[in-house]
Amino acid sequence: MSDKVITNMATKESRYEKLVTAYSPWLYRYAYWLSGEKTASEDLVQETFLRAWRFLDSLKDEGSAKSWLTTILRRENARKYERKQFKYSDVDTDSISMEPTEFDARPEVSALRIALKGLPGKYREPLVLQVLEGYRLDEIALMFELPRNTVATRLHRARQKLRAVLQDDEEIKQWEYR
Amino acid sequence: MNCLEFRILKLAEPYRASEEAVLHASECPGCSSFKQEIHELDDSLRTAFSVKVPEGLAAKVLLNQSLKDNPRRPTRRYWLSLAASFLVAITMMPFLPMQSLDAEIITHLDHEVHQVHGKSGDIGSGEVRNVLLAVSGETNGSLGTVTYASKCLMNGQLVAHFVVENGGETYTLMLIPEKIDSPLPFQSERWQGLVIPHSVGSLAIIATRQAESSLDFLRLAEQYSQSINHSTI
Repeated sequence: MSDKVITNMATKESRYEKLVTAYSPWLYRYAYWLSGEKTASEDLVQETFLRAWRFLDSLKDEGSAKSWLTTILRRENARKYERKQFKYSDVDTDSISMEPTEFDARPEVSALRIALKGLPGKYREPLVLQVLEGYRLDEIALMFELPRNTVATRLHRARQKLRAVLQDDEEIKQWEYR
Repeated sequence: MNCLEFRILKLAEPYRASEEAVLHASECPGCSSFKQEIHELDDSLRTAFSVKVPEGLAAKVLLNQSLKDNPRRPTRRYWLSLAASFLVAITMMPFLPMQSLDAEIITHLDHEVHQVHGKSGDIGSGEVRNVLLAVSGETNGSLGTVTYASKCLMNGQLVAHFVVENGGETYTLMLIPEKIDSPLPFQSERWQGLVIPHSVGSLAIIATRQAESSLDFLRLAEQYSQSINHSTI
């Protein structure tokens, strides 16, 4: 093997290690909200990075690495569900409250988390990107290959639905205390 | 900008506002309090979305990558303790007869899972000693809490099979007569583990995939390896 090939390989490995270290936590969180399950989330992260390694040379700008990886993860997730004919709504939404060590277990946070799980994926996904990682509307639209207005509508509806759920909870609480 | 336009914008992108939107909020108390409500909702969402990331996730990704795609990838940064022997194991994996040992272990565990599942409470050192004796082994120290011990046939050979508890996690420990040259990490849909050379055979430590990703199999294997003598088989 020539010196140049060895140097290129070392550079690729070093780039790859940096990407894994920097972005695996974010990808895991995002995967969790796509798959709803710990093991499936880890598998998704693994598969994402396996694919990223294969196509690492196509990533020219390190600044867009996070979006690039997020897009790979979304596609891996879609492939996985195509193969398994598995829908997100099949995930047992009650199970999330069974893992208090994984989350903030306060009742109001649990209620919100259940409401989030109940949101259709098309509403929840852009919301995770925007709230957790601060992605802008334009960036999400680019990633999802959707018009900006469509993403804006989804985010708008997602928040409206969550507000409605929280307001219902609040009314139920007030009713219970009467 | 009217109130409806302001609220639609706020619901879509709470933390970005045009000059027009800022001006509207300053003049409209209703929209100003709506803005505050949406910001509070997003704060709560941030907390609700937070999920604990498994410790050692990056190391695991790098390790699996090196096993699957590129055996030469250095993993020493994360797996210093495994270092050279680990890399040799990875490089040599396709050529070693051990490739089938991990499959045998996985098959055996899948077969026995219902028998082992749900056991709790220490079975006592007497039973542990008996099982070890059957495979010409003996304890050098305590194995801690042992909830299951059995002499099993695996690929026609007698192995000692234990389920132990350590640091809040449950592990399967197997003393196997088959000899290996270097540590062998493995995983399946259900299991993850490591086999290390031990005296005249090998010792495997296994946990479920649901267990914490940060499990330090090498350290645990070494710990149990020191507690068990396995002189002749």
